[in-house]
Amino acid sequence: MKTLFIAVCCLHVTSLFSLDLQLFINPVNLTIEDLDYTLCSFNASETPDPENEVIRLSVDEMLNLTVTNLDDLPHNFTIDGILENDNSIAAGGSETFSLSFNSEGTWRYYSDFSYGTLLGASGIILVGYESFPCFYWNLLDIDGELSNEIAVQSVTEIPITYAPELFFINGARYPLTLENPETVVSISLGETAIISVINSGYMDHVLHFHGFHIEIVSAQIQSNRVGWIKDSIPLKSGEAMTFRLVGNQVGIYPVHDHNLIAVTNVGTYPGGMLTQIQVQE
Amino acid sequence: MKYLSLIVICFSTLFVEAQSNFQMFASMDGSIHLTQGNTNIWGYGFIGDDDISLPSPLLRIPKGDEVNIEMTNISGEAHTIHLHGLDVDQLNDGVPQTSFYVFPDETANYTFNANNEGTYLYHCHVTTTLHLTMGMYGMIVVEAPDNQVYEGGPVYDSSFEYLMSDLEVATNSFPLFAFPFHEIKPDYFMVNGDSGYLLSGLISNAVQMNPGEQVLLRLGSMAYSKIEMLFPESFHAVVLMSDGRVLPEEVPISSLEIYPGERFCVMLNPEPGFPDELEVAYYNMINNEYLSSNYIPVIDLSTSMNDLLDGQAVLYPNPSSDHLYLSEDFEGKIQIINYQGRVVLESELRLGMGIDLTNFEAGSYILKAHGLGTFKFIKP
Repeated sequence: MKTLFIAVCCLHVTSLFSLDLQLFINPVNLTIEDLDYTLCSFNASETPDPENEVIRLSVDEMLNLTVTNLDDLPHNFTIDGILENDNSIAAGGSETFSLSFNSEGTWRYYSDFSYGTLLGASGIILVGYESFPCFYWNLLDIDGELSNEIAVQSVTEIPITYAPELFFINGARYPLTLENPETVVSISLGETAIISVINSGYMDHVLHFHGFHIEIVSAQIQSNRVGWIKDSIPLKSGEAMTFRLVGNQVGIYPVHDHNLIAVTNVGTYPGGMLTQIQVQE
Repeated sequence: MKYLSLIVICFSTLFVEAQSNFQMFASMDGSIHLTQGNTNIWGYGFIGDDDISLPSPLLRIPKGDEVNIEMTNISGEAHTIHLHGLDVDQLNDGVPQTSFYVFPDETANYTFNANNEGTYLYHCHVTTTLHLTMGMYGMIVVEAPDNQVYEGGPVYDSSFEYLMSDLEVATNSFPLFAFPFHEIKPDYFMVNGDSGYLLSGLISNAVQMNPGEQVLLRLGSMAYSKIEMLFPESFHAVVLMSDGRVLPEEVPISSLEIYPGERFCVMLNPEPGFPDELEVAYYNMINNEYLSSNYIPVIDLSTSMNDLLDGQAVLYPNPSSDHLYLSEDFEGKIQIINYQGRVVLESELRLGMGIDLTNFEAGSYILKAHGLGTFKFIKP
């Protein structure tokens, strides 16, 4: 269980609840199909994990967050429109941030340095929706060779020749995506699920649902699409959206990027950004 | 007992749903003419057709119909039909790992109820990254009655369908060498399978409308690129639906991004003097780099008669219920296109020869006499 949803307590005058949380910024080294990758993640422990931690909050709940930077490079903790200044964390240092959200929805936190953003140091904050089963999809595209150059700062921005060959949901590629219970939407017939999605990648991605239309209930970039009911939903780079899905028919249905190069693993189909909706009787 | 049987028969007759049946085949033996030559395509055709096309045939279905698509695979590899956006059940979803493959020489049926009006797609879901660039896709339109965009919604005077797509010529020419699939980079960009002058030069590809009319565009993308379609202000374009669902409110637009798999219903209400083309721009999904543009021709039907007079070529008698003649000394190819933009006659016209209209339905038509011009006529 990657989500931290700690017991609430009344500590603050303006907020009825608070959540104390510790995150670590970890460099992550992976070898996949004989290729080396360097990523960077916000994890709940000092153990590197390509899956960034999900932060789960209630509306108006105060988050007291301590972030420890275990990288050799400085980072920051950024949430667009919420926390953009005085958010630096020196290499080896720790900082504490307090913040709350006054509405339900999905936000994206990330390290705004190029070696943070481009290496996947980016996670989900989901606020509200406590009465629904919730699932989380953090999308990331990776060019292995480039990731190693970004990590040593010999490259500081994505070149026009960018050629990603791995496509992750929650730090994993299909079929490993099916092993994470926070990725596979498993619900009962008639049940309503909330899916919290961010695009941490450089590319735009477009998720296509088989068997279902979903309602977009929150969006940080394409906010004009809140209330739209769709089966193919573009997520621009940096987007954070919340979907509501009603499991109105039984069965197993894929959900995948309809940019079809992203349903591959180093060129092999099927792979990449592909998971499932599973609705049981 | 006799009365009971009669009641049962009447009752069941009352509730028998209308049906739409399509008999199709899947083939890997097709080709299309590009602006720079030919290349291979795979795709679907109607049983009885000689060949496959790109895109595959448009499937038009009245809302509420029970639909059956029978697909026979005449190719050497397995295929399926995924009914993109129609929310069919798992068995009919066309994903081989969770439904079934249609192996060579097999025939299978896909069934569903067309409960929601709107614009949808169908495509093969076997090794999708390859089979789509090879061309195995088409559009499905579920129509509400009486020219309503959706039941209880606005009414259109005419409608046109445009499916954007692209391909990588090298992949289509040598599909065995397509691996690794993530390196497929489209370099040929299409609207309804046509590109460049093959798109802009064909009246059958045109939006044909009068100022003040309500003109519905059904737009979809099976491209690997991001599409941006530009709507000059005089078109007064608004988005009404996306992915087969009505939007919470109409959205006025001057441009529209269409990502792979998305569909939109856009209503135009053009004012006089509107431009004669719509630009469709293609962007690389990896780095957002601009790649190319196509131009959909737009014809103002209210001024095409002026073109006719200026050209001093006269169709007579017009209107006509039986035969139509060109006063000019003209010999050559003609095309007649109905109000929905479909070619209803292609023929070679010899000098002094009339055009037989007796089998034509009443309505407005466009006649394109190659090398002479484009003219409007009416069959009363």
